[in-house]
Formats: sequence, structure tokens, C-alpha cells
Amino acid sequence: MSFVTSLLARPPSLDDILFVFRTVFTRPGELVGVLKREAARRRAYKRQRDPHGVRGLTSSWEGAQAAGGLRAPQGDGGPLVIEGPVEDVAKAITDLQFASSVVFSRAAKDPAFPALSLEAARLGLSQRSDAPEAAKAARSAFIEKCDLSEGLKSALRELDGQPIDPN
Amino acid sequence: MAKRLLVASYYLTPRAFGGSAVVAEEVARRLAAKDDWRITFLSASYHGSLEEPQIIRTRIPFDCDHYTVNLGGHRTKNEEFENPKVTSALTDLIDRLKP
Repeated sequence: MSFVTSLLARPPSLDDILFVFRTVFTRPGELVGVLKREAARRRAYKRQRDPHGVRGLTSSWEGAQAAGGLRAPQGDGGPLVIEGPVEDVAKAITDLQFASSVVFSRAAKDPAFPALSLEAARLGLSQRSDAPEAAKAARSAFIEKCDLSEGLKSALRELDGQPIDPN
Repeated sequence: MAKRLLVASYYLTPRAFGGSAVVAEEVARRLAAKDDWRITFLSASYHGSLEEPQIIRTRIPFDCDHYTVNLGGHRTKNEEFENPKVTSALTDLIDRLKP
């Protein structure tokens, strides 16, 4: 049913339509089972595409915006150094919430970096990176390709303007 | 020195509904308006697919911090009832906030 629901939520692609017709004509008695397995396969694929949980982080931005403010005051904990590649993204997100500043060392190429850097900007943390140009480019590219509402993208573009200080 | 209060409620604005969540939020909002209280909220959410619970902080309109424990990801039936990882994350949060 979730496969059908996902088809209704967005225009089906030609592949989706051909898949359904192929199933109806070749395995009519197994239609429901086939669609359920396809839905499970697509969910597993989506999870694979978000191994770092950044989709959860972008959802938190949506929540912050809905609550009326994207910015939060910086934490009162110590400075945080994040050295790429980030192995424990969940812990990095949690640590950001309490930090007073963050240094991204060798992290600009990490898939999790752009979202973590934007979260740091949202929290009002001063950021330093040993590759500030690459870091800014990664952040900007992340905003443009992220599956977000235009309103949130606009708010994130403002955060993207926050400096990543090389000094 | 302001007194610290941690308000734990399953849902918070804009997702709060029902009786207890709305009452807890309203009481906390009125306390937050007083200068001698520092209110922090704690709620739950279900986003993403990480196995480890993550804590995300936002700032809500009545000038309070709101920590959300993100419980997204696969959990067993036993973990729905008792989850040492969530307990550890919340213990760490409470130790830092010192309500």
C-alpha cells in the first residue's frame, strides 16, 4: 500500500508505470506482494542514501522554522573539533548542540560536513575550517541539491553566508 | 540566580495536542515569562534512519531551548520499551543541563 501511496504523493515516473503494468500482466496473482516488496526495497535504498542521518537534521531545520526561528544561541560548552571523515554523525550533532565553537579539520570533503556546518551556523557557533573555500562550496552545493522547501532553502542560504574563518 | 526547570513532554509546539502536553507547555510558557526561571524543553521526534539517538536543539518562540531526542531508525520491540542508548543520551543531556 505504501508503494501505491508513494505513487500518489508524486507524479509516477515512466519506470513506475511500466513496473506496475509488467507486474499486472506477468504476475497478476502476486500483485500485492510484489508491490510490498518493491516498497520495502525502495525504503531500504533511501536509508542507504542517508547513512549519516542528515535527512533527520534537515527535518529538524523544518521544525525550527515552523517554531518561528531558525537560529539558536550557541552552547556554553567547550570548543569542538570535528576531524573528517565523521564516523559518528549522531554524536557530532549532539556535541554541536552544547559547543561554544567548532573547528572542522579535514572535513570539507566528508558527506556529512555541509549539514553539520549549517547546523553549527544555525546554532550561532563560530566556525573554523582548514579548507574554508572548499567548505563554503560544499555548503552551498548541499543547499541547492537538498530536498527541501524553497522557504527553508532561502533561510539556509542566509546561514550559508556565515563566515567559515580560516584564521 | 535563575531556577532551572526541564519540561519533558512527548510533543511540543507545533505538534502538541491533547490535554497533558498542552497544559505542560502552557505552564512552562508562563514560568518562562518570569525572570527567575530558566525553562528547557525536552521532546521526541522520529526522523531519518540513524540507529543511534541524536539530540537536536532548537530555540522556540518563548525564548527557551528545546531539545528533541530523535528516535528515528529501526528499533526492536524491547527497545521500544527500554532503550539503553536513549537512556544514556538523556542522562548525558540532564547532566549537562543540571535542572
